[in-house]
Amino acid sequence: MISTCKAVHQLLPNFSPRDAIGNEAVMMQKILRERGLRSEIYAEHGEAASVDELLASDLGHAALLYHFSVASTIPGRIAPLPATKLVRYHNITPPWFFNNQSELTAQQACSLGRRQIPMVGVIADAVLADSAYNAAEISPYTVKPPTVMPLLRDYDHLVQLTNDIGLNKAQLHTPKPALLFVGRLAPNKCQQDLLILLHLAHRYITKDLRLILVGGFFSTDFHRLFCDLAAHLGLRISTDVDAADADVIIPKDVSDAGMASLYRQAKVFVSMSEHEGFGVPLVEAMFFDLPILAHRATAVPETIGDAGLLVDKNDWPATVAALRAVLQDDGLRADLTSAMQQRRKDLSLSHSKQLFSTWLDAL
Amino acid sequence: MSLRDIVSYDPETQRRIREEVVSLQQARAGFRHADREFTWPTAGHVSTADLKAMAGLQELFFTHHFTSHRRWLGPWIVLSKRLGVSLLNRLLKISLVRQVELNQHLWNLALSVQHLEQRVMHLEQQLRQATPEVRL
Repeated sequence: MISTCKAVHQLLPNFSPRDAIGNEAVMMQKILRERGLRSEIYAEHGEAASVDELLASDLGHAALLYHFSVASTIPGRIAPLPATKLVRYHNITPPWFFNNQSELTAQQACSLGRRQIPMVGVIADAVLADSAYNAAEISPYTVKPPTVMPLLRDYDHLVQLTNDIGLNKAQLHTPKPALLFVGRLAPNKCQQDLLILLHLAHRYITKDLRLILVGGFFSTDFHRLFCDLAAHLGLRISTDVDAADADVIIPKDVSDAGMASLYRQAKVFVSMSEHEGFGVPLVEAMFFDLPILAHRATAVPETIGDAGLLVDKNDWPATVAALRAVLQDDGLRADLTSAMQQRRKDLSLSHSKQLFSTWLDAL
Repeated sequence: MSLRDIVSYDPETQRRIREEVVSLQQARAGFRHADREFTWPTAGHVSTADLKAMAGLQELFFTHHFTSHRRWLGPWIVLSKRLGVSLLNRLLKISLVRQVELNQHLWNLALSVQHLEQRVMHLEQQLRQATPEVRL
């Protein structure tokens, strides 16, 4: 299919080389160029050449690789083109999570995006999905079954980063061990349940524990509800990692090196998220040997494999017991570390690169 | 890693934990998600650009991919029989006359497509089972 192609260009609704999808596009570009193909990145918004520019040009023998993660006009615009169309499906958050007034725009965008799944499946000559969970969503509409390939990401690069300003070792060596979650503070990530978990942990395990959440607030409503619940539970919030009396830390402007520092210092990675198409932070935690306790939801079990503890939604006694065990049982932590070391081989950059090359060969 | 290996709390503590979470129901009420049977918002919440993009996609979906790709001709015929040509024609007409009463027509279209997608999925599953040699 692409054996006659001289170029494979990537199209994204938004492009930033620093976010996970943009970073993957850059890696794919490198691999494609190493195969002797021309490859450029085009986007409707962000730090790339305009999609308009590509579509106005003579595409010749070019294939198009569309990263599908939000609603956009790109599928409709490339559908009539004779070029081979490849799709990388990253999943779209279902709209029912966004229920408040300040989340209506996201609700509508997600609605439109979900509505485009059948159409994107139909126009694709081949689909590459981040997870089997994602593949199952789009496969009813595709010509042939999607191929599953974990996100291309250099986790080892993050592990090699050392501490830097704002989040140095001394500051993180505060008296309280930390639970960590990474991801925007949004309804689908359910950080409110992490507040409840911390509250229960203080009561039934130890007061000597705090929660660190990395990510910006998704909406003003979620911010208000989150702060109200924290106040109701008597949990103090701070943006300062050095605030010894705070229960919940939401640090601002965390660099990659600062992120690495947080992964190293935390005791457990906790996820109550209800929707993940893949879950990059779960994998990052594994690369730092940070034990994971997570809700069994969407692609989370698949991403973790047997390298973490999975609990059912709303089974709070089991969740608190699992947290107690992972905090206090050195044998369990050693078993989890061993399992993580095995699991991350399947999620490594070298493995995903191999899968991507095999996929390209088969086209 | 199995939770079976982890020591549970005694029944009394489990009961207290459950009750404690239940007692937080009021404080957590604002976090409730919408029903998963998603109801479309009113048209006024969506920009004209979104609607135009959506209309363009629907047109392409129905006109280009079902009729001009040979691989879709078979399913198109089956779909026409199963769903009724009138429904498909109605969808196309709504799409084509989108300049008039744009929003209402498009939301109707979206709702119709929602039902159609479910039927397409069901039909494809049936076809896959009946004729595995056919590539859908």
